[in-house]
Amino acid sequence: MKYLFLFCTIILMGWMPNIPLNSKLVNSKKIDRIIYRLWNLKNSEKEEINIPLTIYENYSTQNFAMNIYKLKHNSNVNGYLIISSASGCRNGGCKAPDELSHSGKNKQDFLLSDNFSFALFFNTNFEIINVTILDYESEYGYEICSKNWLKQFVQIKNENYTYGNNIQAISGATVSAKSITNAISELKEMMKKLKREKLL
Amino acid sequence: MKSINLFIKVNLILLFNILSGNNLFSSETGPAKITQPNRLAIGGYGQIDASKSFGRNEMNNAVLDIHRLIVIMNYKFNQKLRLFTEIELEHVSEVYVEQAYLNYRFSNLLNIRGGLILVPMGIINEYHEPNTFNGVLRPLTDKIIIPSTWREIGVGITGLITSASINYQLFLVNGFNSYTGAGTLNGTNGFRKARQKGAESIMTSPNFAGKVSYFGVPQLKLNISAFIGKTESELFNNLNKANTELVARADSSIVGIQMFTGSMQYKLKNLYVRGQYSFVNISNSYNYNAFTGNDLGSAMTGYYAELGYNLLKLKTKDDSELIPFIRFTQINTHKKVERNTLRNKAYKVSQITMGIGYKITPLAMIKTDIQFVKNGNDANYANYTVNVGLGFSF
Repeated sequence: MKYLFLFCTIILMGWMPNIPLNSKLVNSKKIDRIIYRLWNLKNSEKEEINIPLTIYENYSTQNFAMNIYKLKHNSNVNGYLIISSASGCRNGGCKAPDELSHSGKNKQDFLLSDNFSFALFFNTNFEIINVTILDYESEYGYEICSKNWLKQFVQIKNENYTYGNNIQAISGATVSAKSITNAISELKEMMKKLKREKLL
Repeated sequence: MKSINLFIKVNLILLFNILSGNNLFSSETGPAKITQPNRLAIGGYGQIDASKSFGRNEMNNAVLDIHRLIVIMNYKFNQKLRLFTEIELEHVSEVYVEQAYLNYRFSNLLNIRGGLILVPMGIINEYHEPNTFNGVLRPLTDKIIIPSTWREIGVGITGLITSASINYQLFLVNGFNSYTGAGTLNGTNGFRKARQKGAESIMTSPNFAGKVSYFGVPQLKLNISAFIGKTESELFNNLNKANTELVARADSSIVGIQMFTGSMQYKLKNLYVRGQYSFVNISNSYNYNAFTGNDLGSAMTGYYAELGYNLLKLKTKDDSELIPFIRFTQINTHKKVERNTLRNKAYKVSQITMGIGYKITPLAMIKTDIQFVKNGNDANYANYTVNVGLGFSF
């Protein structure tokens, strides 16, 4: 009984209203720690970039909340940060086939999966320098949070990512692993497009 | 019947809501907007088996069974709070709730969970969808030593420490009911008949259940689980503290359990490797057996090792896999016995399972295998069972 009381107290103490996800995530300590590690900067300004709708249309990224930030310090641009989500393994099983993953074009498909959010850091050469999973909810497929697995996206520079080929497959986490691979591929391409069209 | 009726009604209400376009599934999309949580997810899984045993001196019928059919309903109240339920029909006519809990999420690091939860012990008790394991039936050690699907009502915390590649689960849960007019723990069934499954369950004292998983090396997963506490007994109801004889009877109707399991899963290209080892220490079995007349051991072990190999290329069109496998399982519910219990060699059971599974897609699987069994009294693997099954989840 006393344990139950203790847990109830913790729940009540910890209750807080819901804050919009990405705007909360971008100002999290976790993001600041990564910025400090990557650029040795304590106070980096995050300036949100407004992307025209036409850029999105060809990407399945449009199905998810997505924000792009310019990371600045004393008016120098150090790099870019994208915060977005992908559909992951659902509680109840990591087993949905390909069309339910990030590449799925049908929005209804996303109803079946749990989304997770991630941060993608680019340097000024538009190369990926860090991938971090920010919020992973499901009991299934959390193996993608492993740093050793995520660093593949940083190490592979001049090739396209192919799940199961140059990106290692993870058994039991197929949906999440495939969808983040597709998402990062698309976002990388999108950044190139934004650069070409001088929108950054 | 009542619960089935209720279940059908709930489903009809949900269906009506969906058809009438109610906003259960609202999903706001578009650039730089916040995605609404997909509030309701419906899923399920099931397995349909056929088994026939062959013995040296006996004939048997085959048994064809809808082993289990489960409906999952998962509802997000908001970004932090979610409900997770699994309702199960077992052997067509038995209705159970397999999971029903609320999960409040603070961050990756901390979730608080309460309700009917799975005891996080070994691999299969948590990840038991039939398309996630080889063989028609679950390994013997996940039936007798870890009585999957093992679930009880409890509260606790879970979380992901991503910087260390660790997932943890720590719960206080209800324990086994070791006395319901007669002793329920014994050498034949281990703990299986003592699960309370959240059905008007009784608790004398809570038990601790915990699991830590390490996933830092891609394709390798290591888990350590523990379950520690005392069983529950109805003799503690209306117990007069002054009556030392009744108190002694009640004390003799419970045992202490310390169960530890280590497990690993590894995949190297087409090769799948799995292993699991459990050790259970049971205290007070001397008094328990003297009181109930049962033959509970004072220590149990159970382990298995399994190799599987996907014969199809890693990337087929439908992600199909054809996996022959071999598994060796051994359990011993009389690893140790107290001096008032005769060690029964028949409780040391070894099982060799050889079979093949075809994943038509990752979601649907056809399986067949042959299981050779011998116990400590047999000279060789004379008895065998042939199993064929369908497993699916969606």
